[in-house]
Amino acid sequence: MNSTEARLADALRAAGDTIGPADVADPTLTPGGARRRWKAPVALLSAAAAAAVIAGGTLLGPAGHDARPAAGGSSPTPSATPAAEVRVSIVLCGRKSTVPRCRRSPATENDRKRLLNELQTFAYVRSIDAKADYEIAPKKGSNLIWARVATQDDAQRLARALLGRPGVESVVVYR
Amino acid sequence: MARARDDAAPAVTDLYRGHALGLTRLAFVMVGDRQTAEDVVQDAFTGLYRRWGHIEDRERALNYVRSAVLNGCRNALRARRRPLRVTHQPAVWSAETAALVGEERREVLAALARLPARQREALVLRYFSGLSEQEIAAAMGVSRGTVKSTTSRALAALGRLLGDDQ
Repeated sequence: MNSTEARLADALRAAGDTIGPADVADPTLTPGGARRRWKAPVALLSAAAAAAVIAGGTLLGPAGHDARPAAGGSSPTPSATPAAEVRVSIVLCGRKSTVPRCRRSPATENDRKRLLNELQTFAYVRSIDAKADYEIAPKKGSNLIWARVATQDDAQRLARALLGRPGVESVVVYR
Repeated sequence: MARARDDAAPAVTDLYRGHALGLTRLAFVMVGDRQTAEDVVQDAFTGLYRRWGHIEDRERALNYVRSAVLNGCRNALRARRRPLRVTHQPAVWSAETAALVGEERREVLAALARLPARQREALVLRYFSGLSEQEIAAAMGVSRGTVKSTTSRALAALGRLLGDDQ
């Protein structure tokens, strides 16, 4: 490894190490697979006739876990982030969805607009991003709407309100 | 398909547990702020969950999510260049991070940020994630030869920017 390579590797490692394990949400899906074995909050959402995955940690635990974990001692927070904010991804139905209902009737632009309008009426929704710049599907158009709410309870409330609506495949709650 | 759906949650959770930290660090060194890095990684895993039925094995799943993270970082960086977009602010290293990383390393990272996106990605995947040429090729969606030449050009350019070639 020459000088440039060594300097680069060292700088990248130093920058990367500022993110520690405590900075990454711990998933709370119950291992084992079947939806009926998921933990209570998820089962509640699933019962609303849509699949929901909760991949994010502390906010899904018992009451009082509604604060974002502080960075660990050796992994300080590298940038200021809003405290105790829960991110909710509303995944819209697509033709390639694994949910049969969605394959039969993918989300339309009207579905999307209706959802956006409705989100704006929820007082507990702090912000909405429908642009989905981090498009996870290499296809045209946006298939996600993001919303940020203050607490896990708000996230659960939002998920319950949206699941089963036309054009909504699933609701993913992070943190 | 229902079976695939049922398998998705534990499989994606396992992958998340094993790779979320590394991928968040990767996204962080690419985009420079933690919030965006977390968002990119979470979206990548959301995408993996949605497409689990179409992804046949774990290795492909990891490639998928790694590529999705790279795409997410590209999109985030592209969004910052749009003058009228306000959703994503430019990356700003916090004072705390800046102090931890140190001035000399920041100089290296600043030089890295000046490289074209593909060159930057190739270098980060090689020297941060420690991926092989084949793995980098899969993540970036290019051939091994392209990875080799891109990495070589990127290193030379970085060396010039840092004055290491003198």
